Amino acid sequence: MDAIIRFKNYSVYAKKKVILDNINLEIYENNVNTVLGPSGSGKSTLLRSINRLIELTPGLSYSGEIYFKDKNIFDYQPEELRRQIGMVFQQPNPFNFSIFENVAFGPRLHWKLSNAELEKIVKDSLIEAALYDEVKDDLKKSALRLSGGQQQRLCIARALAVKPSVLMMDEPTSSLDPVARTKIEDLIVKLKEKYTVVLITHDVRQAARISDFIAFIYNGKILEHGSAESILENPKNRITEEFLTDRLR
Amino acid sequence: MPRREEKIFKFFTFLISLAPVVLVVLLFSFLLYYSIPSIRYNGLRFFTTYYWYPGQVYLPPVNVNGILVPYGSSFGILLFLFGTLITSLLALLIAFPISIIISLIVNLYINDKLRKIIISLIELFAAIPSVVYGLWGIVYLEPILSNYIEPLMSKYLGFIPFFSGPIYSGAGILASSLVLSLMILPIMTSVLNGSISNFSTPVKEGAIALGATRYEVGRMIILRGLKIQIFGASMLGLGRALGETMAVLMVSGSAFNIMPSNIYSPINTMAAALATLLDSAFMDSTGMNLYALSELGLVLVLITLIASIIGRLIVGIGIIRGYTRGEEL
Amino acid sequence: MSIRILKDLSFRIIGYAIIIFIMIILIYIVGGIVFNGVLSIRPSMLIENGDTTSGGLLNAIVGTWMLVGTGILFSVPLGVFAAVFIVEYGWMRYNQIIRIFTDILTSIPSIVLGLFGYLFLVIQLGFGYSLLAGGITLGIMMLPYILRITEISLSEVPRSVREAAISLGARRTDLIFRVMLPYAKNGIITSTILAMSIGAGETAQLLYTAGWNNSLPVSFIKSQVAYLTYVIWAGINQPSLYSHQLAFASAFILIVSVFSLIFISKFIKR
Repeated sequence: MDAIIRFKNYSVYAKKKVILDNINLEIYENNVNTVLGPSGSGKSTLLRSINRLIELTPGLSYSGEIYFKDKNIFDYQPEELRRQIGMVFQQPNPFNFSIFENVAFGPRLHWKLSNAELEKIVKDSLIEAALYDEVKDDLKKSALRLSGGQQQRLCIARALAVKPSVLMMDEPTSSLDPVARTKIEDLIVKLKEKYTVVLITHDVRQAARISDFIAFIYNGKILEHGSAESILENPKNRITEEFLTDRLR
Repeated sequence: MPRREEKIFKFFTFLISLAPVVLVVLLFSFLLYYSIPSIRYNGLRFFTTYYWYPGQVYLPPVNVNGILVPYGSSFGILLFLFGTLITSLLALLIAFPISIIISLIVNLYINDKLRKIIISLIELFAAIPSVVYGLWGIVYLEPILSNYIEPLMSKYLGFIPFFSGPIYSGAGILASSLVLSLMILPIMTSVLNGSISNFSTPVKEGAIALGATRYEVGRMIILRGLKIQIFGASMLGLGRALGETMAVLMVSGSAFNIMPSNIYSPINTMAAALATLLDSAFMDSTGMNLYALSELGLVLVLITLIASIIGRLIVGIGIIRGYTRGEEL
Repeated sequence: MSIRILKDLSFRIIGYAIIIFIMIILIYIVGGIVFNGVLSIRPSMLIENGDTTSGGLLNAIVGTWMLVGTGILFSVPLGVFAAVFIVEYGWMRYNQIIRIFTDILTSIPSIVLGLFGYLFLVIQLGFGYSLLAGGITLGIMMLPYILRITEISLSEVPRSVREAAISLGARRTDLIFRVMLPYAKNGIITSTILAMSIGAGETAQLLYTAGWNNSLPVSFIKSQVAYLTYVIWAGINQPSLYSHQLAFASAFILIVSVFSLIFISKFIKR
């Protein structure tokens, strides 16, 4: 199995606190890779390290390396790295523009495109994000007038429009209702055919439903990593087991 | 944009962000530079005398201690300094209780909707141009003052020092102070309303639940938390009054070289005098009139800054809400 | 009735009386100007040039907006880009220093600003009494308003929206031009309108920077400009009835313009 992202002895420190402690982790191509753990365990920091979004937070220091496609992420231009690694956030965060402009935002940054090309990218991305049928008649409508679930799928479409190879999702369904959540989960499973998905969640049931691999993180440490079945059915670590059973019950 | 252009853009906005600093430094440099001959020539006399004569600028200048000045000229700002301080302080004295009472009333007795309407109407006072206040003062306020109010005040309040005695055209200390008080009312009311509404609701509900009347709550709010904000609001109002030019210029009566005898007397302020005297200063070939006026401007700006900066430091930065002129900056 | 209730009641009555009294004064001022203005204004005043004692107000009306426009052209780019630096790149200490100097700039009396405009722009830079000297002097006064309101609008852009743009690979400048400024657009427009309303009412800055012109200025420098507030000041100080009428008409036009601008600004959603 090919690892598209590799953490090597990677740590993050705030002034005195260790946020991520010596992470060694591989993210496998065309799978749903879930990072599971309680809140405050460093999941988001882990995700934000991959596309260097963490650099926006002042006062952090890092050690170790992260490789993306066998090249150190610090050897990429951050903009190009972020184009290749899309991200979807916990709260849907569309821009205060029209639906079309939201999806077109990324492609406009990176490529010079004709209107026809741009329209095609927007349409394809909306189709991929399973939103197109719902919005095709009013692409000029403000994105803020969509429902929460639609907004989140718009954010997915926006991320897909720059043709990434990895899609990172930071608890993408935590602010949504059950119906909208199911739609997104189905979408994630479909997306892994073309993209590598890195999913963060503290919801064990969600992890069980859609993950191929699970890494369990606790207090900034990866306690276990393996295939979804092995982690869920045979946790080796006592804390993992407690977390799973507590949550599953 | 390529990386290098990113850096250029950042540097470009950095330079632009220095504009306020550059402008302030330039302003003080120019005022100071033009003041130096006056500071040398006039010394302390500038502050201790109240005679201001531009001199005979069409006659040959005379040599005083090696400095050329217009014949007969004399530069003392005591009258202007006094006028600025007395009109501003009186204005503050009038606007102070009014703004406190209004902001308490609207927060304690009146519902949110009406409160917003009243506050934005009061903010309209700040939108009226200074020169329009002056016009109104000349046409409406001065006749009322000299025909009705001032005679009554002189008759019944004459026992108070400076309230008795001759009445003039209506233009003078009282008229200036009244107009100024209207002009500083919005900023003071806005600031006070902001700070009272910030913490009045929980205090109010708690106190009323304990059986306090609203008036008692109001007194409590003022005694407890708001002393500092009230002081800050007053300083902001004072800062505005000290530098006000056109309205005062039009209703002050433009006194020169005569100290006022009572609060009905004509007066002059530093800002108004500066506006009046600059014109003739340009005729002075020795430049001394311009130098002296620059020193006057420098003194005025320093006095104004002290009041405003104290006010701003106290009230803090969160006062930019409704964006009318009185309210925010 | 207990003494406590009585105190409460009397405070309330006094308070209401004061509010009503202040409202009456507001109506008295605005009403007085509007009443006299309506009686004084003639259609001919709007289409003829004048000299504050005869003729019309066209030169003063157009001159006012030319000066305000020049001030806006000076202050909006400076204020907006300064705010961009403060919000996007500035560090706390630096921003505090800029804040202090912006505050100082707001506190400077208008006539002192006028004196500075005279010394620096009219004399030192040799602009003479002119559109550029008067307009820039107005612009210096407008700058803090534009800067502060833009700064606030920019810093109100949600963090999640900034992160979304950056995670799509936006550079700093993309973020600024494609996200931050579009988000702050309404704030910038509001501040511009308010700066215009303040600028139009200013007199003291212009006395020794713009001068007066019986017709329209012919160039940006060394050509004097007429403005409405000057007509008010000069007109009411002259003995003739027609001068007074010109003054009232100017005040009326001014009040209507300023209040309309404020009214419009209230309707722009931030």
